[in-house]
Amino acid sequence: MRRSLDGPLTWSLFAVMLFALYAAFLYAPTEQVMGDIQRIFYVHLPLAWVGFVAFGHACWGGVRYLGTGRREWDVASASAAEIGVLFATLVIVTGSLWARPVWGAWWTWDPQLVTYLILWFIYVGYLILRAAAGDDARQARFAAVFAIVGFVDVPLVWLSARHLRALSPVIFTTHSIGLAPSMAWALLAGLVAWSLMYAVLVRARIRLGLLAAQIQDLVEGSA
Amino acid sequence: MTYLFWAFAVVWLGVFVYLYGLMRRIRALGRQVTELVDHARYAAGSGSSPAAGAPGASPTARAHTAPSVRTPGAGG
Repeated sequence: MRRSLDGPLTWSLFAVMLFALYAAFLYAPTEQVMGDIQRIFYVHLPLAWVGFVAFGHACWGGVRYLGTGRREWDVASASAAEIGVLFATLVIVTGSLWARPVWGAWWTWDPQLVTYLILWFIYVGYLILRAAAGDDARQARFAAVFAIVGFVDVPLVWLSARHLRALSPVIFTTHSIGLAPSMAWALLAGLVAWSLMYAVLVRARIRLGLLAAQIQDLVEGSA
Repeated sequence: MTYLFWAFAVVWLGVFVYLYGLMRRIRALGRQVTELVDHARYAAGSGSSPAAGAPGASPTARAHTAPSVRTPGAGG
């Protein structure tokens, strides 16, 4: 991992995040039906998408770990899953805060919400399993399989909103974007900003994981 | 507006709590590295290392009476 990318990534994150906040609060117009509460969407949807990317990254790390047996991939998978769980938790909380005034309930057993909650539980389970595995290669392989199988739920979340009469609004279809252009730009800014946030966090977390593994080796070597 | 405020507040709180957690883990690793360095210096017989049990010696250095950390230049 190239350290020279850290500075530009962090500064880009800072600049784009400021722009995304400006776009969400000032540039995007107030939605006519929901009012200002709709602005939650500019952080909720990017977090959800980047969360999916994180779980995809965790799955890919698991595949590579099973293929190569290299610890780096195991660390990458665990790091991505950890940040994915953080983002997914924030998605659930912001979704609830949006749903309360709009639907009149903090939570409904909507197919999309249920499949998303299952996804959250799967990766929380993965993190617990991974933490318990420690340096045990057999358990790490089992955790990798768990990360791969868990990712199967991601398309189910996506499809449930479109084919199972879900309550959640569907913004993107194959034909159009259901947003005014200024709203779409605000959403795009949020997507770029939270993608950069993910890149910065996952790089730091992977580096930390690798360092911890090396120190563990040294401690065991000195015992 | 209250819900909007709380949504953004929760997101940033979550991010900063996670960053704080990462920083704590980095500090814990830094302490482990310091202990290993002390340990390695002691194993190499360097005069500059803190003696086991002496003030300033790390808990690890005090705990191991016959340390065996391999360090470059320590004779394998």
